[in-house]
Amino acid sequence: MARNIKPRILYLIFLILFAPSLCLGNNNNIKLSVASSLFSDNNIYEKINDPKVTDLYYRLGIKTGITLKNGLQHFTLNFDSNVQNYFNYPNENKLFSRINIDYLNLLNKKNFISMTGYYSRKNWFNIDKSYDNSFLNLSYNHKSNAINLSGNFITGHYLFSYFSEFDHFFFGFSPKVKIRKSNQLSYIIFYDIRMYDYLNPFIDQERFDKSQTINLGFEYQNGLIFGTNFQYSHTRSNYDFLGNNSFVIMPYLSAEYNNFYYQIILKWDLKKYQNTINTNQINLIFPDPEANTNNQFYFGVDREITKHLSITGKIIFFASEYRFQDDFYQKFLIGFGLKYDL
Amino acid sequence: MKKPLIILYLLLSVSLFADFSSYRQNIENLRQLLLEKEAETQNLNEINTTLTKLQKQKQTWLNQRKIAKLTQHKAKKTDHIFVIIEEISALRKRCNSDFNTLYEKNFHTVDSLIGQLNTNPEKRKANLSQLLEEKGKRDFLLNSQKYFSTLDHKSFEIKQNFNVFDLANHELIDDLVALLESKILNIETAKASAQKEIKMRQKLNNFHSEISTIQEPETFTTTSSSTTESEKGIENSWNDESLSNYDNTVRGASGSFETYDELTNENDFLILFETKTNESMDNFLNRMDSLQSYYTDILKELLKRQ
Repeated sequence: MARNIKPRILYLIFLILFAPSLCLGNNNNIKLSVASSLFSDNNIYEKINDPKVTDLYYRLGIKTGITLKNGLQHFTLNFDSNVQNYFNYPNENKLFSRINIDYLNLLNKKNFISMTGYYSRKNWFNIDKSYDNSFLNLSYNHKSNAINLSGNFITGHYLFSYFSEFDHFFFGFSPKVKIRKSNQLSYIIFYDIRMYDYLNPFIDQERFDKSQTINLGFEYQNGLIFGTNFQYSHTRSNYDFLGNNSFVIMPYLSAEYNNFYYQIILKWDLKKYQNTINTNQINLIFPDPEANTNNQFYFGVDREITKHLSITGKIIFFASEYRFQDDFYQKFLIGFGLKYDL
Repeated sequence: MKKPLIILYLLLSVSLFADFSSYRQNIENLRQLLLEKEAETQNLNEINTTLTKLQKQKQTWLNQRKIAKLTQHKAKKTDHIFVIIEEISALRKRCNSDFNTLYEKNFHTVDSLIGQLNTNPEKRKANLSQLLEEKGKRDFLLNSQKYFSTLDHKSFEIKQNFNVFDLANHELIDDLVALLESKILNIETAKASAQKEIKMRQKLNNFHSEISTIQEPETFTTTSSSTTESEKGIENSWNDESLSNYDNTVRGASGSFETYDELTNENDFLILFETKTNESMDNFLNRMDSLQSYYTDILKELLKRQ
């Protein structure tokens, strides 16, 4: 059903959903943010080889959230919607929307259970292409002053895509430990295991994947915020060519200088496939080449003009895997705009 | 015969070696236990109300089953409350005994410091600073009494030795004013840098959220595990040393559980585990605010008396 909703109608629905927050104004339990920006994209079709197509696009992002509290129970609902309009290539115009629902229940002062539901949808306006993504996560958590333990004891995920070969379901388990060494320094360690079941595999054979990840990270905060995560993932599949090992380094930084706020986020992914098959048709690994998969660099700068309004600038670079395994495209984006936060 | 002596010895040694930081910790534990008792009693009352309602209704099989389950639950709650009461009682005794030791010690320290202030001008600045610290300790001791003593604790004789400052000694007062002013200035600087860090955290969270929609977040080949809204909510409590959010939640006060600074979702592709909220910094700011007003009040009082 959801696949048949036209993007414009969907966008209208989202705007109607945003309306209450606009009317209610600056309430502690309601947040609203609108970002308007202009981007230059040097590879709009994510091509691996030249010639690449460059275009400008206008982007409008609206997000809003509401929190309801009832005693020891808390419920949060968030909407987020982004429209991207290209100047010369309207076929690439798209809408990305997502809804996030969070519920938590404090059992006592040290333990709580939480549930997160997530749904996102990506639509192209002028071509018949879209996909949906949904996610459900239940977890049990224990916290104390210096240590925080949590276990996502059920993680379920369901994805529909316009390539039905990628419709899949997964569930997983992820114990996580956060340790606060001091006010300045904290660590995170987690292990995550996920089992994937593909509903309509593209070879006439059922597809099952298993992915295991271990993450070690730290963060330092004193005059600036700096942190790094190191992550090792091992993915196995009964489709041999999809099995891979990946080592990821993710440093990030947030700082202020002369009333300008700077943010840098980097993801460097060293991915190695266990086997390689040269037939591209079979090596197809992901339906949407725009997805963030591997190496990424983000630089953001932001200067507040008033309490609610700021000028923003971004420089972004991707070196990500294309639809086909081990084929990487490069993309460079530069953008600036205005942002309003209520 | 020996057992009571050992207990007496232990009690004495506990009192003799009572130190201020463990007393603070005990008071915090006591405060939490009191809150827990309040929450549990509230739960018990709710169970009782439901039970009364059910008992008035027609006794179907389902109702009887509910009543049996609730009665079981009620018994468990009652047991738990008794355990909490016992813990509270033990901790109150301990705090009371520590209080007596620490208050006495504080009184003598203050006395000797004041004596030195008037006789030894060389060490005045250092002594004044220590004196302020001791005054802070005394105020805490007196305020914390409400957690373990009965309502009419006024019977305890509050010894005041701060009023014996030699106000005629202008040099001493000038030094004290300068010290207070420098403390207030330091707090201002600490607050300004904390506010800047809060802003940096917000900006990083917003940036992270924004870039996750530049391209569709990937969920296939890597495992994302960012902080969810719920976790962020609870992190507020986690980061807060005094668990004031739990406190607020139990008491129904506003301002607890700021569950979002911005939007995140499970599919965020970068594991910025520190998409945490600024709650710990907010608490720091609150503490700094109260400390600042504490010093400002003393300063005002001094200037008035001058």
